[in-house]
Amino acid sequence: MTNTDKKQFSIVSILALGVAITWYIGLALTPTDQAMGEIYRVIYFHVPCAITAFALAYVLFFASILSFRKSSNQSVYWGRAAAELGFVFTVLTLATGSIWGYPTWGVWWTWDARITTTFLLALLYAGYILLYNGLPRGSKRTKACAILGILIAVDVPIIYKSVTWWRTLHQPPSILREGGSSMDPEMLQALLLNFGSIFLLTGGLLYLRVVNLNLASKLEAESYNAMES
Amino acid sequence: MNPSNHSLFLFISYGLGVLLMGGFFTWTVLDRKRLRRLEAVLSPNKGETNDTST
Repeated sequence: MTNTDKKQFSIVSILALGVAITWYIGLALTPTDQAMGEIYRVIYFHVPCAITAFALAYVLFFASILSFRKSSNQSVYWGRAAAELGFVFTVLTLATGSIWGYPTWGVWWTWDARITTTFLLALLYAGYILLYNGLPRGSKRTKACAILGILIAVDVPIIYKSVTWWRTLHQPPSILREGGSSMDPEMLQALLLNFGSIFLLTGGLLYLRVVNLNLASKLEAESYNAMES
Repeated sequence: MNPSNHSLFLFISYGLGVLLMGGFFTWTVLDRKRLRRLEAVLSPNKGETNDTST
């Protein structure tokens, strides 16, 4: 590994340490919820994971738009990295939501509108990765992935509005709602800190993956040239 | 629901986070190492000067 690689990994390790610190704040320094008890502390991970998964769908969306307009592969790699991380964060959202759901709703899983549309997001991210891996490198793959990337972004507003459009078990928004947040200010601050740390770590991981994809592409071209000559 | 189970559920939730996010990071590091080794084989004279940053 080069010195630049080591620097990049050190920076992302520091960002991971930031996540650990904000987790500690959420788990140990915030008051207990009177209605739900300690289990409410899943919120400090569940909600940032969900918002990150949605934000990554927009990274994928803009990368897909750019890949239509530019011939460079950069936007394709950003899209691919966003889909991988988006899948990880959507799975984490579903898993932590299920763990939170059992003590509060009495069920691990239900085909509620919010949960079903989030599950669809996980499938779409997985579909993007499979499509990318399944097609040979070239304009056909770029276009097919870009179309799917744009479709994935369409699911995000549906997920967000699902709790207001349909009668669901999942609670309605408690932060971004008319009349302001219904959360305790101390809890809200801890939640925002957790948002920030997860966002920064995601940015770091995204960049690391894009560098890897660039390097892999460069090596693929070099080995192809070596075989040709 | 027994409140003592809440700690276990929290441990599983955050533990999953450590596993998946940590796993992604570890996979990225190992992949980079593999790619650098491959790079050294394909172009042994370039060494540390290669800049693959975006």
